[in-house]
Amino acid sequence: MSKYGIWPECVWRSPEMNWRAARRITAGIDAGTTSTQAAVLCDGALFSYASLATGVDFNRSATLAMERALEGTDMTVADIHAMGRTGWGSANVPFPAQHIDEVQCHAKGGRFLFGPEVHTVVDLGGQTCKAIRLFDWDRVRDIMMNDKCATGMGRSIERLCELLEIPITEIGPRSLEVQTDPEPVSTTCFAFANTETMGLFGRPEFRAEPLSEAEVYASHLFAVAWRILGTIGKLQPLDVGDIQVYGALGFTGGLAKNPGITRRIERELKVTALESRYDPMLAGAIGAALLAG
Amino acid sequence: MDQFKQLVENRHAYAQSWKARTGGKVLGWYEPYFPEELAYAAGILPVRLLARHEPDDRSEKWMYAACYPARDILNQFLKGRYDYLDGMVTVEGCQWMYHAFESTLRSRPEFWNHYLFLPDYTDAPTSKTVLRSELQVFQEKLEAWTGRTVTDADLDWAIEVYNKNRLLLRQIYELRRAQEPVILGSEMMHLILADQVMDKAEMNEILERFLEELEQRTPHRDCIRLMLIGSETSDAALEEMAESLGANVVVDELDTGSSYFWNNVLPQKDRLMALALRYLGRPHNPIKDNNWRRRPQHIFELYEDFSADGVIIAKQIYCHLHGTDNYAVWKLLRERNIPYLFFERDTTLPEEETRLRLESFLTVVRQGATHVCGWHKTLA
Amino acid sequence: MSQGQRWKTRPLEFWAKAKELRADWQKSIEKQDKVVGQGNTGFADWSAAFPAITVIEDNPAGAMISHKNPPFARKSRLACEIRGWGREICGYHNNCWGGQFLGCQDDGTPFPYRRFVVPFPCVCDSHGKRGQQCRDFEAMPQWMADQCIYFGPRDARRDEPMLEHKTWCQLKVVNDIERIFGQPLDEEEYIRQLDTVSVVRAYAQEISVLMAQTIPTPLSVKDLYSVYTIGGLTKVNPDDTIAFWKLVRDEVKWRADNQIAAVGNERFRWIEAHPPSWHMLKYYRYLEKFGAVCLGSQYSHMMSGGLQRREDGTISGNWELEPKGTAPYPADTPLATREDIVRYSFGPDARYPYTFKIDEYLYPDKIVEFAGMMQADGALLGLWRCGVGCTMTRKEQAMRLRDAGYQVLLYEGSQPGDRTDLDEKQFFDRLDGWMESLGLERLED
Repeated sequence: MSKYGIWPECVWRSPEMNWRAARRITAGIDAGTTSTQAAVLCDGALFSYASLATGVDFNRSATLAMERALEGTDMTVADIHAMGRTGWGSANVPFPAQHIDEVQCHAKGGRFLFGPEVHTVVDLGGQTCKAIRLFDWDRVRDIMMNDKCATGMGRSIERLCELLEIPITEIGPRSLEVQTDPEPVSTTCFAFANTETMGLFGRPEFRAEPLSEAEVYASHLFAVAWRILGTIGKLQPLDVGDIQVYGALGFTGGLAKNPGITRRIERELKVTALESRYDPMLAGAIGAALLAG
Repeated sequence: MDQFKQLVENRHAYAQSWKARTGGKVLGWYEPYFPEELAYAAGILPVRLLARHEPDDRSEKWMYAACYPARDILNQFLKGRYDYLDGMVTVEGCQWMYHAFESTLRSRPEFWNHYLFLPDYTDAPTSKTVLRSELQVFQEKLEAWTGRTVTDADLDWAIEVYNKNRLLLRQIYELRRAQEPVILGSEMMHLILADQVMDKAEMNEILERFLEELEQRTPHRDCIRLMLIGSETSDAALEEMAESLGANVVVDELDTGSSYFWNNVLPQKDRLMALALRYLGRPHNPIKDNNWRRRPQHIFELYEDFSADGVIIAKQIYCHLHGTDNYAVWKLLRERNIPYLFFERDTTLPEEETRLRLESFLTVVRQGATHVCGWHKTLA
Repeated sequence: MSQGQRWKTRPLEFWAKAKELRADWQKSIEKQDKVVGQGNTGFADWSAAFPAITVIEDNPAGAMISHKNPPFARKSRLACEIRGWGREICGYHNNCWGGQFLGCQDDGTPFPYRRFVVPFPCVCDSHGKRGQQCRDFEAMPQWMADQCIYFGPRDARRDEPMLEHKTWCQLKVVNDIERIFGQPLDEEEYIRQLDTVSVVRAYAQEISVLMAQTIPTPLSVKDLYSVYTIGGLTKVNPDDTIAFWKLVRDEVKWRADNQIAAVGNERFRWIEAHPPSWHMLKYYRYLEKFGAVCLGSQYSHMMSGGLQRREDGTISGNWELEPKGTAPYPADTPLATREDIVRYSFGPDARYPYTFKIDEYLYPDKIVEFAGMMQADGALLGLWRCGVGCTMTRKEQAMRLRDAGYQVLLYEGSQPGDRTDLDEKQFFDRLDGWMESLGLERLED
């Protein structure tokens, strides 16, 4: 199987932190449908993590992610005082860990990633898109999730990259090369949306100018962004006016690394999302680790 | 498995045995505004047509889109599951159900059938006259079909049985107001569904015994109290899932739930007018809640009365009526700071996806997120 | 005539007048001095009798927005979605009421907020619920013009209370509007409007019959769609309305008499069911390149009240053709009081004006009759997932047409006013396949 649609795996360990000096070590595992993250925290600070593609077996993916996160350290699972698990495959995580729901993990992880300024966290995951509105430090005020069809979720972009043979890291930046976005692809079912996108390369007789590659990418990612806007917008009790986002906005999840989607959402919302020095895919695992502790 | 769940699952066998036992006719009905009392007075067993969770492998040829209950009911007819029915009837209501009714008739023209008009404007002084006239036409048609005259005494008896049934259902339902109720949401939903496919006189005996049983029951522990609204349902899978996560659906506003029995017939000399007023005055679903918009307020009153902590809005995909009503309902819930979870159902209830949504919502409710407005109870 | 073309053709002359009337209507609804209400204007003839009231319906607005301004339509639909409307809600609805939420229309001008609403229960539930949105958005007077339905032959006994009910509801609407907005109802104008509908219907029936009977057809449905709301959903002065429809009838008749074709290469006649995808009407012209011309649908000929084949084999409208005093407006109706006028407007059939819908929903095989009357060879049927009234019985119609030997192609979409889920490329690939399967090659462009 080609690797166009897979985010590069990554493993990181704090070069300066001495875990033995920590009073409390916690870990979180986010067993998602497309990727699995394990994060280890020492006294609330990130010590190490691993982010890998989820295989067919959640159990094995979770085990592997934890092994990789601990690789090169002399820490073992037994040294961890508390562990949290979350994500679609949470029930299959083999370690003794507390199950914590995804929304709480992303809310908590979002605060960790973006600080106190963030009031709206949008998790752009492999299977679901969750818009979370926060209050107080990490209390969840409101949540909204995407409806069933999967255009707008990571899985659909992965499949599209396979079809178009473009690395998942490149499709976003390439889509931003266009001057003006074409109308988004219309189809909501992700399988058919991918077909429609492929079709944009054909039948030039219906367009004054054939679409460029960048425009084809833009058309698809604009559609994804548009659907995510629908989820974010549902958090707003507006009567008149366009979508407004409550407080500062932060993106988590795999699609947060796709500027072809995030820039378009920012453009429509007329905001700039907060940046984090951490990988946004870690939010769930970090949140689980914090909540378990 | 509880007795009521079994009754729902064995509904076809029940109707067939009823028919064999009594020699009476069985009439399937589609729409919640159907005045069952009239058919019952004519010695007929009226049974609500409920969907099952199966692929629509036959109806696909006949019907495009449509909500899953409409598709599935047609599918069941095409598969012969309702062969024991003698007739079918629908009332002016949702168009998808009407589609199911019409397509069934075209595939099975031998069924006796009737379409009963019920005004969309339910509050005009003339609305009751129209419905009374329609009931009269229906009564005469039933008489011609069964060869039996429906007397005032028959109508009085049917109204009494149905009123008693609604009273018993309400008595059981009211027990859910308790902080620690003796009946869970799933059991109550199965009970109401079973009620809609059974002979009411028999059901009344079961309900009376059940009420006695409930007096002996240990109350369920205090848990998050939920309200369920949205499109009609034919099972209690959602309630069961909520229970598995430490919550309890204590009140609903479904056509297949509380709205089915909420108001009684107030007897009067003109029996048909009494029936007309009952059906025009019931808690309205979105298709009949056209003029005065009572539905959002009714939802709020139920929410308050049963001390719910949050609302689940479960809408069937392609239920355009609830899809349109959402705006008014969401607006009301937001204005009153009531947390709600909205999602769409289809043929099945995808377990992991639904659990994820429900679990997250329950954490929000459990956190006491709504305490920001000061009056809402915070749960531990 | 170009090479290979079988028939003479020429541009339609009534176009200029149609554009002028359409512009007049647009101006009339933009006037700030009128009270703007929401109603089903196709059946709100009473509204013309209030000179300082404009009643708008969202159907033409929604269709037009989807055609003219897809980005605004998309934005409108999102504005509705985030406020709770389900994704199965009709695109006409969302395109129009999204503007209510956004505060503007597609051209950036302020949204014409309604000050009253008269929802009209319809055999299409989406349609019936639609006007309610103004009231849900903001408190305002609301009335209900109820619609009665039953099946089978006319039943005077059932009709009687239904007509009383409809009359009560309608009188309540006009009397309350008078009282609340302080505007007297011009009863003469009310009658005039009703009579105008009768006259226009008679012309429309002639046009439909000419389209059905004449090979080559003098008018295609894309031409008919350009004008068919004039006098109905887009109301203009009654005299102008009548003069316009006479102009159209005269021109169509002249074209029929002189074999002036709508499509010079006509060699395959096809019908459809319900409205087209308004944002993408180019499929009509695309199929014309194969010599395939569209004769419309039972829906597009509804101004005629539907067509029927008489016992002698000739085709006519469902109602008689005399301009006044015919069903549904009987000549002997006394017109002494306002109530008389309202009764006159309903006629003796409580189910009017949805009798044609009943035919369509209750008897899918009626489409076979329609195809026969139109001398059609095939049908292109849209399966509109979010248009409940636009998709009912469509699959059964396809079955019946196929059984009767017609060539049928189905396509899927969301709703005629919504481009969601209509993959253009796939749609045109299907059209190519359909034409190829019929042995029709593409003619010159």
